[in-house]
Amino acid sequence: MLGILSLALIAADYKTHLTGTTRVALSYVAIPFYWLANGPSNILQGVDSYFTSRETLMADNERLHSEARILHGKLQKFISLTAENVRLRELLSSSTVLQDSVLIAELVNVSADPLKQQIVINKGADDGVYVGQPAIDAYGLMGQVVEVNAQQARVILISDSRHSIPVQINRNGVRAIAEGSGRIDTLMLPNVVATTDIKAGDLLVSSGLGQRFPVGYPVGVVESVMQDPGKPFLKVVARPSAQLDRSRFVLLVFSGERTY
Amino acid sequence: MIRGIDSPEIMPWGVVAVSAVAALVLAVWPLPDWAQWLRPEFAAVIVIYWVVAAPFHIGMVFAWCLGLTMDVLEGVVLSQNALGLTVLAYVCFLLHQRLRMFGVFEQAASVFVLVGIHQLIGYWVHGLTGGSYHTLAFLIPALMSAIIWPLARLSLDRLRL
Repeated sequence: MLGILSLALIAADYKTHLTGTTRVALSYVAIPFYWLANGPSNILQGVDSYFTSRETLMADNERLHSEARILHGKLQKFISLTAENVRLRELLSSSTVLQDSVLIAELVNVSADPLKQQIVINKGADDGVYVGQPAIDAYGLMGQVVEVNAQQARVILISDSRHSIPVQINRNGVRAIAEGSGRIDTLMLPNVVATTDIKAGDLLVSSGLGQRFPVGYPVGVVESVMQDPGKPFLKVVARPSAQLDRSRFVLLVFSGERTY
Repeated sequence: MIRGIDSPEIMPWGVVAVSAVAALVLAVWPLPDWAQWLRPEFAAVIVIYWVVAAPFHIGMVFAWCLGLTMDVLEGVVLSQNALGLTVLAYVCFLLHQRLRMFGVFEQAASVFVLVGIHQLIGYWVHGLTGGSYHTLAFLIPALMSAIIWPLARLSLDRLRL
């Protein structure tokens, strides 16, 4: 009987959205377990930051200051470029690209099921996080929010085997779909016609076509392009730009306007 | 050999609860990426132990509830773990007299097969609900569970006293 109940639940959860609210309610159960499991590493971090020497802090401070200076320098150029871009877009009377604002979240848990590439972060609906919101790190696109409760959200990574993202090649604008492979370091590009201009080293950026992700964030770098003469499509493998397995901090993007 | 518990008066409910919580915490314990597949299925080990020890007090309902909590923790389709653990509890109930008499290594071998069934069901549900990552690596946690079985059994035997 429980078996039948289980099967019914699988069907209900997968096929319908009836269980959505139930899942959100259930997800609160998970919070104390994540907290307990993270306890030791949190304590270690606390101890570590408490005993950091003055010299290290000063060196860190120095390094961060110089980094900030360099970034500010780059930003100046970026501001004028953005303004120019807006002007040009106005000339073309197309929609303007607005600046995205971001919210920083910390990783709470990585999905314990190795078949799934999901992470849990410590920002939820209370902070304005919503389902479908894109998440990035300092290097590229990480994924999107799939489940939100008041304090935590679950993010599916672009490498999950159930995730796909519309991309284009930065060099020439050729569009493709990047599918997750289930491995954290690989994306697959299916249905790329054999005559497409694509080669190893090409940067893939989000194309914004799915109206889910903002346009122009780096998604991955093409690692290999293989052509089987007997097949109409290329076998293209890419490596995600974001450090999916290392990032401890996640940036949640609030698009000012749909930018497609 | 696992001592059976046949009367509700000596049923160590506290130990059952503690072991279940411990299994759930260990199931989400942060591990480096390369070690993801090496995590034993702690919940399955706990279910096997308690169903074999107290088949008339702990059974499929316990397994189902534990599995559902696992589903929520792992963020998978509801019942992916619950279904596997329920089937596991049923098989353990059928085999509990035999499993009790086994030596620790024979038990470990059985644990490999039992957890393997549980993993197979989970993998099947994963595939059924759109997952397309195919690998035989889902049997590694079964092997790891068998490896930790002697330790898990020993510590649970001690805790029960």
